[in-house]
Amino acid sequence: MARRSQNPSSSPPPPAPNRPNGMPLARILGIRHLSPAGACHLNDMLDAIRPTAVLVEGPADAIELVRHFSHKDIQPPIAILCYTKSRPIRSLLYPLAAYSPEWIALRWALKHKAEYQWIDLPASVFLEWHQVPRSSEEENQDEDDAEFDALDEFSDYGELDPPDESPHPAAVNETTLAYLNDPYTEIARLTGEADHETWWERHFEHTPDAASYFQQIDAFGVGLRSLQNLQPGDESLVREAYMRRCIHQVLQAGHRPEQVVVVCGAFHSSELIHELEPMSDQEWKTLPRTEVNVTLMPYSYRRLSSELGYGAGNHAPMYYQALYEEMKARDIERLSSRYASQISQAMRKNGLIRSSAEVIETVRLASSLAALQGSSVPCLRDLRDAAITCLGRGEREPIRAALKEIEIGTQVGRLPQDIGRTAIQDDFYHQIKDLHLLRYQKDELQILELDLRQNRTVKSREAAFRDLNRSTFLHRLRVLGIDFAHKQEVDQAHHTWKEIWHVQWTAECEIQLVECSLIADTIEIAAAFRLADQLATCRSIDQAAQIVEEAICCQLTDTFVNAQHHLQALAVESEDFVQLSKAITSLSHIIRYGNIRCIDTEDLKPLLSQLFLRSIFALHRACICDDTTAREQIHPAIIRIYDAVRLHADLIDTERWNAELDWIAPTDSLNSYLSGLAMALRLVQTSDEVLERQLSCRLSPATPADLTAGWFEGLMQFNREALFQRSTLWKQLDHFVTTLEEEDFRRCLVPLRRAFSSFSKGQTRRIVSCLLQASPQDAQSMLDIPEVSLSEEETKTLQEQLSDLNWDDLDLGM
Amino acid sequence: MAKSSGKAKPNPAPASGSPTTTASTSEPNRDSILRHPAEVQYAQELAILAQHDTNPKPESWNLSPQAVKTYILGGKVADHEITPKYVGNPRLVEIAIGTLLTDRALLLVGEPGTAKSWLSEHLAAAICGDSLLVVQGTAGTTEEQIRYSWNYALLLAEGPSPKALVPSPIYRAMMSGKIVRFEEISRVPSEIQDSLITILSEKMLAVPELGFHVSAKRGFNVIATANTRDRGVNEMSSALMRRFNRVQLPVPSDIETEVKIVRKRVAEIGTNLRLPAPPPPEELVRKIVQIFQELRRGQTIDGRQKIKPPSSVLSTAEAISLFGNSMALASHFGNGQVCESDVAAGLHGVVVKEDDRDQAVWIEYLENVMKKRGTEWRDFYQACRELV
Repeated sequence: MARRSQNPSSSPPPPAPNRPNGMPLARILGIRHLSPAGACHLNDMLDAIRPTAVLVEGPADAIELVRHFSHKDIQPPIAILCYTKSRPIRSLLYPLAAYSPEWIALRWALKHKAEYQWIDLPASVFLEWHQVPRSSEEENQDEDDAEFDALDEFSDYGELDPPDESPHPAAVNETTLAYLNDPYTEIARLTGEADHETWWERHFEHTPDAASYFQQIDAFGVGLRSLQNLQPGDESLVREAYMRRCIHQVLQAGHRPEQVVVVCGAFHSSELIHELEPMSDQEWKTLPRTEVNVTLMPYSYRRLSSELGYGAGNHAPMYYQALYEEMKARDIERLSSRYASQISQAMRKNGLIRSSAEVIETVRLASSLAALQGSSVPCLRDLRDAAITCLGRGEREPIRAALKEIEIGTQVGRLPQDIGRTAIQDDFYHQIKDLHLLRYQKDELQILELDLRQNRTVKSREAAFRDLNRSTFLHRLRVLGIDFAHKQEVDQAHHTWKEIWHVQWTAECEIQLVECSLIADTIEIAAAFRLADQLATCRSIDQAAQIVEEAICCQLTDTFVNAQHHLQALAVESEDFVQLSKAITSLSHIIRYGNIRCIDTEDLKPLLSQLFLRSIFALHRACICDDTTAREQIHPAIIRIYDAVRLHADLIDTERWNAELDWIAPTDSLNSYLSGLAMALRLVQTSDEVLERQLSCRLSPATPADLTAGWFEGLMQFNREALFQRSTLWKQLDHFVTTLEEEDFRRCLVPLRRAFSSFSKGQTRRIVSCLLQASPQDAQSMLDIPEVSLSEEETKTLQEQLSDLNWDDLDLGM
Repeated sequence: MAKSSGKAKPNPAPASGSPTTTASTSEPNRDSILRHPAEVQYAQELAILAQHDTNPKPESWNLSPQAVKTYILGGKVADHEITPKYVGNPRLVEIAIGTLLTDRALLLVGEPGTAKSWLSEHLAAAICGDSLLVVQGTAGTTEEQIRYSWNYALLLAEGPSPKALVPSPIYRAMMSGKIVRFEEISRVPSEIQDSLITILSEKMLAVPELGFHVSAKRGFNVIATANTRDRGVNEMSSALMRRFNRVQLPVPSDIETEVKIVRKRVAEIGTNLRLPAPPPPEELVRKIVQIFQELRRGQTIDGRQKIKPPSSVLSTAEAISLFGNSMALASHFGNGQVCESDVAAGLHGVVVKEDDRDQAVWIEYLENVMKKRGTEWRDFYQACRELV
């Protein structure tokens, strides 16, 4: 098994200074993290040895949490989260699944009242270690650690403690380098397996016998170790010295070595021997450390699988869970049938019916694929390929969803109430319970509809405003960046009181929640802090208005008042029309619907008037812009203000707004599209005479034709009904188009086409009838026009002719 | 029962023949045979594999599954080099062999020219040493060709008897426990296809006229091939579909693989057809493969430019025959070396096959892509341009 033999003997890396072959300190059982077979065999071994002390590789300062492992309400996957008390938070994550050997070992110890201990470096040391820059030769690794900074897992967790140090280039040749960088891929290649996982599963996970499992994995660990060239002071060596220190302590406490079981990554198992010195008190004291919190958190299979970036060599947690269960029942042969029938069931649930015959064929094909590799039990890759061939009928697509469900699964771990929780978690769980949101705490997308109005059919005040309180709570979470609920846009009709949220609880939410414990101890205060932070850095008026709105949604009165002041201060300076319009929309919304959230919005009204005035002054300058800005930014901004004007006639100097529009509409030094839009907004109040004068001015030959077309486009954007009423308009347009010169016609064609393209068929018919009134000849042929669609040939000629147009020229003209 | 009479008359190739018997019948003028079946062409490799085969063999298989895999994918057996027959994803071959190990039939699906028949021939040759039991599916295939037909003279003279029965290749494969190949199964009308259902599920063929049935011997199985993208293709009923394991053979997606396939096959064709011209230089093969891949994908290899794809199928097989053609041209009408003008002549015909619109596609490709490729492509472009 030992890969050492593969190591080219011609120029091996210099042997590690202390290659041991000595007396183990205790019963050392090497494992791989998250290994079903390891978990199963470990349990048997523990039953056989009946140790008085069980020592497990894991952060020593998380020992307090272990006593919860035997709680009846705990359900893996869970993770131990260690994070620094000071900012920026750095954290370490140790996921544990039901098939983690560590989990099994500690549960065994708890059940049999044996002493237990984590024996890896404490997280307080680990987190600081990765923080302090070390000697320059390790720069490489520090770069990797930059990612480590935020929220990462133990760099070597999950894999069998892979070599993460860069090798010293001088000492190794190319082949060795290949092993050192990625021994796993190399092993897979040499054994003819497609990838390392498959190799691992076939060679280790199916081993039926505990003794041979541990023998194999030890040999593998030693082999792997021999490929590495560890220098004194390297992380692995320091960790091992600490492990030895812990073991010595336990032995000194009176446990007999043969009664002490050490469970650690097989990579370390050969180093835990008498011949090597344990870490001395002096060394222990000089290690850097920082203050940390440790807590337990639920975890999910989705996150455990590589799908969400956690590549702990556990791409198919649900499958491994099944493997573990079957292995425990001593019936590993059953796994294939279980897998295949589960896949077919999942497919049937999605409406793809597959017969039992095909399920049987899947199992048989998987077995013969395994036989090709010389093994009797198919591994995941065989099963999956067989399922694709038989159940997917040669294609992956139909069975993709089923594969995901059966291999990865949606399972989320559970923790009993009140264990190892931070204050903010307590607050969160209390609230989630009080608000009856517990059933939404699942790793699955659910839809939550809230009615913010008082529920008059119930008695207690709490129940009457439950939905409102839920909304407040979810808004606070949103402010805190906890990805639990996402607010959806709802249609206008229910705008006032209805909210739709997409809620999904993932393991990340828990981490985000824990992160917030650094801000404050309750959700409410944390949200207020977060908003205050945002306010302090906020420089634009629309952002400030948004913060005001959020403060209201979060029911944070003090923050609301502060934000309001801030907004006012900014309003005096602000000249950006688009930002102003957004702020106005936010405020208008608050003023109209604020009462539903029981907040006094009276003070906002003068602010709104002030903003309106500013926006009217800013409008003129905003109308001098290019076409793209006009269409994409100014146009929606104008409409936003127009809407607000209609809703808050009491707060606004409507006269001034109308006067401004009236001035913009005829002014031809501004963007013609926006002038057209202004005209459209004022159309109802415009007399026929004024309109006619406007039109003839815009349509006169002196005006460049494309500007005219742009003006028309703007005009068509709003209040079309009113347009159909104006026969003068159509008459003049008809005249304009028919008298255009060939060259001008081409230039106008595109903007005109764009202006009319958004009309529905019914509207087009009305245009035709308007035009008919203008020129009653050719009535029949005109009526047919809306019904005609272009033939292929016509499209082609049209495209050819249009391609002659000089587009650059056209754009310059606008 | 019907065995002795069945095989003797209508077909000179004995049903229970091993590769050696097939070879020996044609031994006297072996060299004059245009193309030998796989088991004859690669008899030596098969013998080596059999000799060094230590893995257990399934009943009535000539080789163990591992050895079959080595035969198809190539490798080294005791200092002897086994040439790869199929270049591509090895897992597909494993699944194909795995399927034949169970009693499910194998259906190879893919676009024209993705080595479906090629793979099926070699699988049959390696597993049972006989790739000659073939049913060629066409629109005119009848149920008799799948089951059995009669020697009508005998039938009229003596009435139905085992002697008058003419077995189909499937019948013979069942009797002898071999693999029968069903080419282009999707071209056969659906109702005719369905006569395979009982044969595949119950491994039994009833002969009601004579009141007996034939039960398949161990080792019997069917490898069918079907086109996904072609005219005149019939749907397969789901009842029949369920009895097959489908393996989809992809078009090679990267240039290197395809260049490898083309070069290997072109060299083989050259020897086989005794063309005096040496195989084309790699540079040229690479160019052609690049053109094929670009036209197939509808964009250039670097992904920078979109290309209109032609309606014709541009498979690897087309590229291979294109080079075969150019080698013939070069040796008889050219200077003996395959050069760009020889290839260009054929290339135009390959791209512009059936649709006039492809002519425009080809010219567009020449002008917009090839012309701008720089000096290495200049000659080739000129050669192509002259022919348009």
